[in-house]
Amino acid sequence: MSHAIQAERPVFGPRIARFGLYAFLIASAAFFLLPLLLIISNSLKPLEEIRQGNLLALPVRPTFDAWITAWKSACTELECGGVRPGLWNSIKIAIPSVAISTLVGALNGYALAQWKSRRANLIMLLITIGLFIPYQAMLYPTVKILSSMGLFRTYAGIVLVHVIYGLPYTTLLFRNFYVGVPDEISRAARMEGASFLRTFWSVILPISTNILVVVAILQFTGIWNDYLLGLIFAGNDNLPMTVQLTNIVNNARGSVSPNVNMAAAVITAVPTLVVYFLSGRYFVRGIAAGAVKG
Amino acid sequence: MKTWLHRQTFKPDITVAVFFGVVAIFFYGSILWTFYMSLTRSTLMPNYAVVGLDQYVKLFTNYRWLVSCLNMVIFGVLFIVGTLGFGTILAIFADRRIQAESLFRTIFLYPLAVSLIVTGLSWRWVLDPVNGLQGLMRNAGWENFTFDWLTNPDRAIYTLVIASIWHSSGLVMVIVLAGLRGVDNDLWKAIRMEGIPLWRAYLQVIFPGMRPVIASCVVLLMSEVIRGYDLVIAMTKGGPGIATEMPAKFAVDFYFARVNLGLASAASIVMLMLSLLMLLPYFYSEFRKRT
Amino acid sequence: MNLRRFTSTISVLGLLAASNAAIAQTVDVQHYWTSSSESKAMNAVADAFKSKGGKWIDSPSADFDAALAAATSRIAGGEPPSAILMTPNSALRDLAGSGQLRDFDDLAAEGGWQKVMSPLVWSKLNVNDHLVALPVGIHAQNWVWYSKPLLEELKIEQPKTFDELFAAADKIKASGRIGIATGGEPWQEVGILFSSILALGGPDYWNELIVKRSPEALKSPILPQAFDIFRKVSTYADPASPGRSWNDTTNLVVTGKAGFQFMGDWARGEFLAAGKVAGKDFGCFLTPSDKPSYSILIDVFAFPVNKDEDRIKGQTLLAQSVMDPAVEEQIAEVKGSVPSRTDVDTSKLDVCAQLGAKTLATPGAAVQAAYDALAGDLNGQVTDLATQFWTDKSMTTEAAVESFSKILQSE
Repeated sequence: MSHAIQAERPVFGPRIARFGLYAFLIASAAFFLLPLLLIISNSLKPLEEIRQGNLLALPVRPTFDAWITAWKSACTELECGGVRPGLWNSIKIAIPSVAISTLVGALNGYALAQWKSRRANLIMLLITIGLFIPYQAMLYPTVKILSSMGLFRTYAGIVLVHVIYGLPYTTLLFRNFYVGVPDEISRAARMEGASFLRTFWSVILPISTNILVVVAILQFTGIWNDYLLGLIFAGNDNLPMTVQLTNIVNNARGSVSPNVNMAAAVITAVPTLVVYFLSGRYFVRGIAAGAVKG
Repeated sequence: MKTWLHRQTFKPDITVAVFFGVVAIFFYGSILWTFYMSLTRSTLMPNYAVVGLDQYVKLFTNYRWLVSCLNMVIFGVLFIVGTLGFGTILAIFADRRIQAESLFRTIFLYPLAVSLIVTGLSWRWVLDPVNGLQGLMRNAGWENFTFDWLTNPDRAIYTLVIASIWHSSGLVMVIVLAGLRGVDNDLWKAIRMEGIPLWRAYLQVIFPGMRPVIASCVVLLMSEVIRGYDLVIAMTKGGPGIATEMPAKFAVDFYFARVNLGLASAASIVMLMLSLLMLLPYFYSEFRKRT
Repeated sequence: MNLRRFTSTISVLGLLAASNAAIAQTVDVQHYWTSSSESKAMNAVADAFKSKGGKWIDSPSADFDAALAAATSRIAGGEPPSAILMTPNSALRDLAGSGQLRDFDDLAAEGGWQKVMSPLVWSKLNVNDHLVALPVGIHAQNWVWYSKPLLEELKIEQPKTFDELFAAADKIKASGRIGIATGGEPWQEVGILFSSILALGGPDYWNELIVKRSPEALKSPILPQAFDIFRKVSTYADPASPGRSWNDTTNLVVTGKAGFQFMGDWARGEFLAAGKVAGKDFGCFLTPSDKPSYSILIDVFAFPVNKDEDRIKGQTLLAQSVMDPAVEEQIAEVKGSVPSRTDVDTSKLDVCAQLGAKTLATPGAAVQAAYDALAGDLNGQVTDLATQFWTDKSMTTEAAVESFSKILQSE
């Protein structure tokens, strides 16, 4: 099926152009992979080798010691337990936060795209401004609001903070996607008297796979890599993995082991990488187009 | 009467009102509070005695702040243009029928998974004049190879541009790709039948239809420019000297490390003003187009 | 039957909970000691605390800024930590000034703590005549570290003046190594400037200039001389210097790729971590000066006001654990600092730590480091100036001194 649809996209004609295309893609891939290779190769070196040699050199005596240390014995707090203790907390925070903020952003974005009024544009502008406030400026008021709700330093609290802080981001992406979706798609449903929520749920969401995947992976990346909000709002029992990672990587006056830092960084990034690999199959072509005709 | 009935069963405005209420409480509450604080001499904890615009005067007579703003403009323009260009090209290529598309897409996307702290650290290593690329080339016998931008006050800001393009191109790529995938196949068929050259098809037909999607990218990148902090910390710490200082780093430094809530708040308010200034042209055009 | 068992379980649980509450002494400690040596030091405190029956909740973060952000947020949200690790700088004065900190005047009187601390340390721990912070250890900034094998190879004696230091650095440079290793980060650079001022002017001048900020001191010829020395040190910077972390820089000295480094005594931990021995593999001296001087940075615990009975008891127990001489000695040993109590046995410490402890005990030698002494963000502004002067060679000494005076007189 996908081949039939793909066939409509013109391929690059002349062979030389095709060769140029792959040359460009491979060169770009090399540019993108260089830092990753550097990180992995240095995480496999013993500390002595890093101190002596060039950082771009390949490891002479590769070892997984740094990975093991980063996983379970690097010092991060009173206990030296590596990044392992935070893994479950990170998962437990990220999954509901991503799911809720993506859905909420889709709903809000769709509403803004549908509401044909000057006011909708103004409101979109006001929401967008939320993207430009430094988190530090929001900490104190957010703490006050959450503590008055009894949610400060709780699991529900950190999820709520991620959902709310992500609202401008998700709303903007969805709204600008839905503005480009032809009106005919929802018109039929509206004519039949379906409510707004019903239309959104049974007509709009099913044709939004691409943008849903995009927003979900971007939100997942943002929430997974968050440090400051987790530190302040999650409470001691829910501290995410990034708190341990940062405690390993950034310590001002203790001794530093770059190999362990790099190993910890890679371990922490693995779940996001897995999400990227898995998302590939959902990047489908022409679904929106099919739905119009359908 | 009929339209009125429709509005009753089909209510985007109520949804918007609910969410906007939440945004208003958290974001605009914070903005108001920050503005209030910027009028006080608060240090670590809030102090509610208003002293007027002292903090703004202090801010705009601070050399580091002025340099930060200039740096942000240079960095911002290069970063946004570069990322948008590179990301779009990658998206176009990924949308063609290429071998191993999924592999390439993942490679271009993975930098997003790497936190900015680690991005900065690894690029710092690559660009380190002694232990990085330059040293490697010189050891390999290329004695005159020079690439010391990281430690050169006039060039260091470009290293930030390189690292952040590396980090964010994937973002533009997926957003644009999602848009491209929504392009109707009939449109492509028409383009082919008309025999329009490919570059013209993109520039004149495809992208104009994707304007809102591209606008999302620009706004998100602008927000990274304004709030950009982690990368600078990991890569140059604002140096050499103050050559790569940025407004967000200024504000963050003053919030806690320098215990000056008042000045940090003033800086945050000015940053908001700047972003409003950057956003207005885009929204102005949106207003005109849609009403 | 089942029901009875259920109720009895409940009552047993209830009893357990009640008895726990009666003896629980809990602390929630917001700190940033997360590296291996720091973690050992924190464990020394925690072990002493736990052995006395306390329950320790750990709230770590990567650096002081993050710890302060978390602590102030928690105070604002009504869930303050029991103790915050910090330094006696303006943040401490702010917290104390707004009534957020518990004082320990009664415990201090009981334990005679004032008598076992140097007057300077004591004065830093008190805000408005109340003891609001307890010391965990003392670091000092104005140290110079060097590679012993390298100096021996080139037949260089340990320098006693700046001239000798620069002559030695030139000799090392001529041999193809780095004379003075510097890490081009603002806080590292400004440290060298402050060390130069202290070395040239001595403690009295330092107190006039940095603590009292008197206009006469700003006019003294010592200030331009100090900037000249600072500039001279900057000329030894190697191409990879900008942005290099202090420990990477120390490693250049550890591996003999560089001769000297100006750095606080936390650098000792880096030598020790590489298996080096003080006095044998590496040497140390205070920045060359006629008058012994020691600019100290104190690590302290501050104790936010808590309401729960078990938290208050926990704070008291933690205070006693921190002030335990045996704990202080242990911290100094693992972390490279000097004990804050003068009655702690220092004979087990290495030559560098002993030199530190001796200088600290010398009357009039200790001064507070600029980081703690300067009010508000003055230290930050001087840091910005120092890094500009360090990087921009076209900036004249006169211009730098003038900006420096302006900053110090601005508050």
